[in-house]
Amino acid sequence: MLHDPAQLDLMFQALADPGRRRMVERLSRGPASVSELAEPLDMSLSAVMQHLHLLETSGLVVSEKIGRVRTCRIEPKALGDVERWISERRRSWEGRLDRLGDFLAETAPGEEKGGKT
Amino acid sequence: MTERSVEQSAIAIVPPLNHDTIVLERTYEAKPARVFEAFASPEARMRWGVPSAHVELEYDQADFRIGGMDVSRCGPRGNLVYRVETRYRDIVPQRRIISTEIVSEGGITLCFALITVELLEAGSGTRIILTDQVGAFGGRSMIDGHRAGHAGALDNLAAELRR
Repeated sequence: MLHDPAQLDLMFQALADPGRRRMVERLSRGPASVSELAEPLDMSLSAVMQHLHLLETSGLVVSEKIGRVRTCRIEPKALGDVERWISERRRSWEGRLDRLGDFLAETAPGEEKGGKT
Repeated sequence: MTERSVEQSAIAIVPPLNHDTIVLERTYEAKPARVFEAFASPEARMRWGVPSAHVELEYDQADFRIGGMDVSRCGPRGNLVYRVETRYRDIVPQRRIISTEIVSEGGITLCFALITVELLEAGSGTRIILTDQVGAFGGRSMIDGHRAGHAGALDNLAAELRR
């Protein structure tokens, strides 16, 4: 998703507005209902719903209606990126430790070369 | 709430922090003194401290002692986009090295880590246990609009590593 330029345009468009950035900031601390989002914003509920619609279109935020309450949260795609990043970090360590083994073998002093001293 | 305070707090979009612990064990046919030296010497680390021949590592600063700091840059060959600051917290020769690490790209912090390397005698060789406790951020593109084109930089690195 992050690699689609059109989607990126929508994201930055969504974040260009200070009120929407404030909504994203609030959601980065955890899910919230629409009225919780609206409360510190000095905005009508319908204005908040419009902003929310834009944020959802951009892919930054998802919302779900349970009973009479619509709960919003940050799209967890960013988390997936982090998980991938961490697994690359593990792979990177594995590669480095393999190369450490090669390095130690290449630089072994004579008496270690047979594997025994 | 005034528009001004909204504007101010809006600057602080906080990316989520995710924690993980990576533990790796290896046994080398080399005495602990040699394995320790391979971690201690920046010249040695230049030779083995990259995961593959496609990745490059350069030291701007190296100071292997308790409280000392290494500053290095790494990334795909010819494109050293990552800056790594390593601060040595505990060094027991031939036994243990504990360091903290901050990896950043273009001034944006990507992760914080606590890295422990334990060295244990194993017959005529050495067993090492590496524990990397890492807290990593996501959503960098959200806080870094003008660098949007680099959103795939980590993927490029991954692709480099897989080659």
